[in-house]
Amino acid sequence: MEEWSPGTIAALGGFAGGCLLGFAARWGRFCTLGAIEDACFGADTSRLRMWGLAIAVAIAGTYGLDFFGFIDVSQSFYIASPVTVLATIVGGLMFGIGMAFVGTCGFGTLARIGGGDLKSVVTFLVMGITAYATVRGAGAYLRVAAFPDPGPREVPASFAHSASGVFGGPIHLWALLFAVVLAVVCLANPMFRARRRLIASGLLVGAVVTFGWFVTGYLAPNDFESYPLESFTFSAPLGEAIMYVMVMSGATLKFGIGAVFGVLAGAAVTALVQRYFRWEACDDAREMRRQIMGGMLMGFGSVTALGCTIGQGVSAASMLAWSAPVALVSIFIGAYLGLHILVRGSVLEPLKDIILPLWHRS
Amino acid sequence: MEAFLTSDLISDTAKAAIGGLAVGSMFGFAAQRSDFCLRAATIEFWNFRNGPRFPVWLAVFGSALLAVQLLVRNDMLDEASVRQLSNAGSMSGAVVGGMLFGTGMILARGCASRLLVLSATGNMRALVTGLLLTVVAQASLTGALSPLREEISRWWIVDPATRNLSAQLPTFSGELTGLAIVVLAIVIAFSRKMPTSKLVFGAIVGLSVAAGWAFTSALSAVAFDPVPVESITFTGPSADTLMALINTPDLPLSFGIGLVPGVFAGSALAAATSGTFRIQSFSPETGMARYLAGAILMGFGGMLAGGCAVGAGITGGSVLSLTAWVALLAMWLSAGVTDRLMRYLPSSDRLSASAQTETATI
Repeated sequence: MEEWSPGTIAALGGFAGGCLLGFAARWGRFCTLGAIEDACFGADTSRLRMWGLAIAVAIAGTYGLDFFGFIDVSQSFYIASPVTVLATIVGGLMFGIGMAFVGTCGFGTLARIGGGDLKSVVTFLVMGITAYATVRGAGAYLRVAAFPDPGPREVPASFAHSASGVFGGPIHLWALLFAVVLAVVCLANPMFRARRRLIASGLLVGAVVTFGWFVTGYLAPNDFESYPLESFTFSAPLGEAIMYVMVMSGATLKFGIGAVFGVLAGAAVTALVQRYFRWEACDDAREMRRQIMGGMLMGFGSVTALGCTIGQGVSAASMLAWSAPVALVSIFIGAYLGLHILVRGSVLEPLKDIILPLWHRS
Repeated sequence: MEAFLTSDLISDTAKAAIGGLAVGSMFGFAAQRSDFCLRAATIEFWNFRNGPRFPVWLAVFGSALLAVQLLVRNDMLDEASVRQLSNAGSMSGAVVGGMLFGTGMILARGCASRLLVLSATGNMRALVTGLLLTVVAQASLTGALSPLREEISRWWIVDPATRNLSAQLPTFSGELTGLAIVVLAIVIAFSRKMPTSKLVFGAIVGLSVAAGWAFTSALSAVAFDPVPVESITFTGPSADTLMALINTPDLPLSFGIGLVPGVFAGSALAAATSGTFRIQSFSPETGMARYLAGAILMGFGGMLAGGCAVGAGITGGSVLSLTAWVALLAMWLSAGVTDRLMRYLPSSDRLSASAQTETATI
């Protein structure tokens, strides 16, 4: 164990956690867009509550790790050096629209590939390459020009820290309070409480994200080399995984790369066990165009917003980052807009639907 | 031309890229107008059909061989500077790589250059397949598949003296063979009553390969920075273009980097001006799995063989490199075998294309 580099240890931990996430995606149907669709069009908030439960468990677990000294939450870039609010909003909107076009987010794309969906391979390639280009390549110019980096902060941008600063009291107690309140709100619905599988999946995802912090913050770093504190996100890591396959000799293993392969493996095994595995392809040119455009939007948007549905939605949320609710709401609105664009066929119609009633009412 | 090559206003690598752009546009335009396609030519040949694709391919190959050998004869191309003649090469790579490439070419219904030309006409299936091909090619060069490629290449290596066919054959055999092939093309075309324009555009494709050699040779003679002497090939430049787009904010310029967008632009122009622009994608009949499989085989096989259908087949063949001729032969044979197998295998909805669509323009 001592000879392994931090990168390798992190990648292994990412792989293990990724397998469990892939399992949760298929077995528990843990899916952001699915949760939004159920709530908006099906009047069923169960999957949304599963989501919230995952966040609650993750908050408690993460700040618990910090309390016992395993990690230091102020090291996480989500709260130590977040991007601007504008970047989070615009990135989240783009991501949401892209997610609606594709039919799922980056994490869900990996889960679908595990189930034999070939059109998701296309989405994966496009999203990963776009994300990588947005971090380092041609897209970086656009991103940096539009959203200059504000740099690191002195006080971590987390609700626990802010609450402690304003009202006093230990940070960890505030975090626990947030977690408990969120959990209670989610569990308040009896219909959700009856769905054991969803509850189990929510608990699992929360535990896995906590585990991610544990791996990168405690297991991976050694006396000679540190390792950046991170947990699961599926934006830039998609590109990094593709890059790794392309340039193996010149690239190093990282947590995110292990996570990507883990989700693929976990989803595939689960799908095979469920006997769900079947090859799927694109129906027509319009669907292919949607997959490609959606993949590009998600790739650019997720890197700009510094995370995707899992990255901001769960991992950053587990840190009680300010950016998390902003990102989630933006993604939500973007997805809503995107779904309406798909149904109505143009960009203007959904906007008219929203604006005109308000106009007439005034 | 002299002034352009020796000008101090732009860097040598930029000049190489501009040359690549120009040569690529010429190739792309003429390739689209002539429907140049190795795959279609092999299918026509092996099925004894009276179509235009085989004569066009002959016209391309013959005119390239004739023109390039004339360049060598007139000291406009120095054989010592040609990588395919002055370095040791892999015969095993040419055979195995050629076989894999030929199989992949049939499965994906087009080689690397054809996919690029088609994507410029709106064919998104070709774009997606080309993208996967490029990722696999890069992986074969420096990534996860590179150890396998190197292992296969090591089985049978030939030295430069063996590789250089023109040194071993009687003088003028290159030019005469080229001339003979062109004449053969004209005779077959006449007997099949095909439109002469396709043949003429085919000759232009061959001349664009010669133009590439001439340009890079002239530039490297006067350039300060090292400019490799090369001509049209796609697996390498596509991978380089992809890596450049995603990896660095600044684009490292070269002939190959200019080539890919040049071919794309030339082809798009040809399609737009002849009314053949059409958005196309996969359909239930065509099946996505075989395209993805074909892309993987071509990406790996092309790198292994030292070039794709154009890179090894035309460009390498035109300088009389033994490994290139062997690779071309392997591609031709395996394409025939694969085409046979595809017709006689029990067709499943997802994996095969109906035989009737083989003669389509795609």
